[in-house]
Amino acid sequence: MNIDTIVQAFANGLLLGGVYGGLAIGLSLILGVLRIVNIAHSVIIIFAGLLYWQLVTGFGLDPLAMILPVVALAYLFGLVVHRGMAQQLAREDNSTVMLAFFGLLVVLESIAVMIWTTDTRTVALGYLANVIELGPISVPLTRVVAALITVGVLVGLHFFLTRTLTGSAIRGLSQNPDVASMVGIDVTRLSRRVFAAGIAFAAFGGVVLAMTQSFNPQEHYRWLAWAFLVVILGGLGSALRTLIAGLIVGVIETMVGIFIPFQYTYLVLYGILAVALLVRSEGLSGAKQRII
Amino acid sequence: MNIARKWRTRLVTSLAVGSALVLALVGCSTDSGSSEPADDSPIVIGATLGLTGVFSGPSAGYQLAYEYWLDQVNAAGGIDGREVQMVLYDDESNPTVAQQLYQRLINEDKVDVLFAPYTTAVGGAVVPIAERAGILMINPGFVGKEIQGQASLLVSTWPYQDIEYSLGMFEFLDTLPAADMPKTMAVITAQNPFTLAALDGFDGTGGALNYAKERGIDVVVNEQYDQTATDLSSLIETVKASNADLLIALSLPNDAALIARTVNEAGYNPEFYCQCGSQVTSLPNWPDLGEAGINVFASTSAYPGQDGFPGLQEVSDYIAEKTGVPGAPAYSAVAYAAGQVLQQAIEGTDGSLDAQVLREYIATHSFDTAVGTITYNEDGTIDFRQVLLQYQDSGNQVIWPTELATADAVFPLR
Repeated sequence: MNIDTIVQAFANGLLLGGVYGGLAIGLSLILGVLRIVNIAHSVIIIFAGLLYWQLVTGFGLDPLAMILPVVALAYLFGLVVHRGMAQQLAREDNSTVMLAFFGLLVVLESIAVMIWTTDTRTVALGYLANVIELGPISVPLTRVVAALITVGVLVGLHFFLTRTLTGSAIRGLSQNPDVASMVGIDVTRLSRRVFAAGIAFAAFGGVVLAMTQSFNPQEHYRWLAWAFLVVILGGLGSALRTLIAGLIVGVIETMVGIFIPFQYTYLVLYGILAVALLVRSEGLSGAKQRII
Repeated sequence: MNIARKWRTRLVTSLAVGSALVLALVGCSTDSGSSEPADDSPIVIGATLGLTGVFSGPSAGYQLAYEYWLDQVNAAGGIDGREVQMVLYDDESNPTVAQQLYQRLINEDKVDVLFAPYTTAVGGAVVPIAERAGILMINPGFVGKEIQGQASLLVSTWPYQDIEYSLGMFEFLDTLPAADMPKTMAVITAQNPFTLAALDGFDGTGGALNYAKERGIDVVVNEQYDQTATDLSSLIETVKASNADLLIALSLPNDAALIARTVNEAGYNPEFYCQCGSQVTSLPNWPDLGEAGINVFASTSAYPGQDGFPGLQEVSDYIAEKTGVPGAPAYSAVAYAAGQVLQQAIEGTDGSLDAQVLREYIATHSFDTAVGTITYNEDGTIDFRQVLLQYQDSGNQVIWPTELATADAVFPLR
């Protein structure tokens, strides 16, 4: 195994980790702030990916320009879902909430199949489909763009949550909604916006996924598993830790694969993560509380 | 909690779950089957396909071919004057679901003949059910030399078996000058019973490893991957580091796209790259891969535009119209051929639907089908024939057999 292969695998891992971070942040936000286990997260990812595919490959629109419209539509959808469903279930037990979101998952998956069928889709990215040669390594432009956008979004979210008044209110909401309400925070309104933002971030993850992978409407569960994995490792509700957790998972996955037979990669990956979480049960946060 | 809120909560939850169930049920085809075997009653074929789930892409090709064949045969007066119906269920790409549905086809729908579902993992699970029921099963759905040998009423329309999937590629390589013959091979294989048979062969024969060994090609990488893998970059890096002249990927359609993309992104440039695990280059999503899909080889059962494949051009045109992609995938040719074999067998036996009579007739006669004129071996398989395609800038081109070639092979990959 030469050094170039190792460097290449490390670079691949960082870029893959960026994708994983993008996939997980929406789940982390909704779970961390609103304590809602959004198991429809993965189908929203795929739905957004399909919508992005429709706009870019179907209608031939610009792949970078179409990111924002997909995310904005998802935000509006999130507002509707919160008002129509999540808000009504706010004080129900977890099993009721999960059942309702499972229903949402099946409905969205069925609609996606009706519109786009079950074919595997690949977004034709045009000018983004190039490969950049950096000395001995090559990196696909799509993954670089996807990872850079993800890093930008997650760092931006981190500063928004930690340095702004609204961010403080969200952190207050996550720690105790009742007390937040007593100090003048409009909890319902803020919850709706946070929920919608979580859905929008899920859609962002879908766009990132669509830029880097082929996918179909019925294989979203695997992405739910990866999103949960990153969220569990990163701990709840921190954008930066979600990003770091994504990078760790990505790097482990690609590095392990070059040293041992590839078929054992996931066994080793899950083993490492299991041990890590046994040692630090709150993931990277190392604390038994949420930051936001 | 106040009463209004409680009822609203229940309503929201009920609506979400109820809608989910209704939408899930919409996917089930519920054509009614025939149960009265009178002379003028319809001939009922039972089948499942993975219309949802991981095998939904190829299954859609099967469904279109079946639809077209049924329309054609019924428009021409049916088989032996009897209308032909098909009871088709969605097995969700799941062997357990398929087993339940084949029990239902046999015991409740009381179908006359069965068609096998797509892919070995699902099809292999239902063959014993058909055998026990004594019903003839035409098999356009999967390949499997071992399974075929163990079943007495299973008749394949695939002109090659699992262990022979990469043989067309190697036969093509044999036609090249010695200087162009690859010296080293990397093979990556999905962990699936069918693709593993395509790798290892059966009883010491067939399989990519044996074909390479017979030709003196050194196997420098032989790795497997889980089909749920989300990233294969480290695997392809390992292959790239080996600098193998020939890359054989034994994979199913979904992972084939990921492999092609990763090979391109890694800048790996082998002399030859064959997606030899399934016919992927004529699937609707392949053109969307752009540069990553160019010059990839793949084997198939037959390809339109050639003589000697009755019905192939028509079914290809039908599928092209429905999917927008020219050149029918291998699945649709063998699916259409299943109908042709059944029709010719029933007509040849004066309308018999007896499984043993039909099986005997099939064993001793030849059939003109979309995969060519075929005769059967004792185990219900067909002698090897294959078409090797390469997806070039101009689309799919036939590369081998040489007499059918529509273009010269392009190599190296980039």
